[in-house]
Amino acid sequence: MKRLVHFVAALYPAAWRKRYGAEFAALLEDAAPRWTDVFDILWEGSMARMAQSKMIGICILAGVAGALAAAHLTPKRWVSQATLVVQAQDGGAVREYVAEFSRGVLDSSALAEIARDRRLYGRDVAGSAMEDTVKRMRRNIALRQNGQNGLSIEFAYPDPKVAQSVVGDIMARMMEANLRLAEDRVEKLGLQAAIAASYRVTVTEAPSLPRTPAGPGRLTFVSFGLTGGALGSIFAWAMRRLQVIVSA
Amino acid sequence: MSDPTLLVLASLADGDKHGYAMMEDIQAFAGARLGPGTLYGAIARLEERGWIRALDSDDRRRPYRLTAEGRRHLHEQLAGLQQIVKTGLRRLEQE
Repeated sequence: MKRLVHFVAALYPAAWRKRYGAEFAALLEDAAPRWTDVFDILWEGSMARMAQSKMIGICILAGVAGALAAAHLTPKRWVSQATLVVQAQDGGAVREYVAEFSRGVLDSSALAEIARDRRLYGRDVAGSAMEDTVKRMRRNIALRQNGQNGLSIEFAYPDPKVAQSVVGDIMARMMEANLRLAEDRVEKLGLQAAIAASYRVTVTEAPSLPRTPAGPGRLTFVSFGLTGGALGSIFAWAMRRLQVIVSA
Repeated sequence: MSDPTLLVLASLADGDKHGYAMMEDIQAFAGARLGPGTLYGAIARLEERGWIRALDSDDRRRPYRLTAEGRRHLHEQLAGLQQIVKTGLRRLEQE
């Protein structure tokens, strides 16, 4: 019987055994164990184990719930897109030309102007706040060349209408930049040569009004949830370690 | 009175005791034998609440002592039980 109760006592969680194991073993040696004690120890050992698992479960669930709430509170991203086609009158390459007129459009002062006009990110419009705004804008602007002549412009923002307006602003500035460069060429080369070397920029797709957000997507929610679960597990583990150290 | 935590507190009210001594004492004054699991479940809960504390011991048989807070709690519980006992007995006598 004694061997059996000692065997059943191994059901208690490690932290419990570390704290009470020696004195519990002494009690089992002193008291003449009965059959009912086997069930008594089984029951209490299971309860101690469940309380521990419950704590771990609660920590993990709390982590997942907190992370999902954070993901839910993350502002949605709406992406507006427009496309242009740039054609060289002489059939030459347009890649360098696109890079040239995009540079001016996407420089800091141009973006700051758009940010001010559209009151982007609800920021103050001066000093370092504007620098941050411009950096943030840059991160959310995507220019992609489609094939030989196509150029797509994308801007992501928490408001779909503002995203659309900003893409419109960028496009308008690109058209203006193209005209300015054409004027420069006329001055440098003369009208006939400038016409021969000119580029035609045509809007093939006007800035879209996004109907569905581009993010946060399922992947974001899953990764937030997994991160929260992992943090919960680490927290539960740290609590257990602390408990063991304190009780030692 | 079958709450194991209350029985443990009552056992420690007259001095420090280790697990086996508590088991014997409780059997003597309450006529109830607490199983080893129940006894240590109660000890662990009481220690967690700060109502008893373990004393240093070279022996594996570690004695426990009632804390001031534990004594206060026991007093409150027993006073409440006393009220119930008094009321119950008075009503029985009235019949």
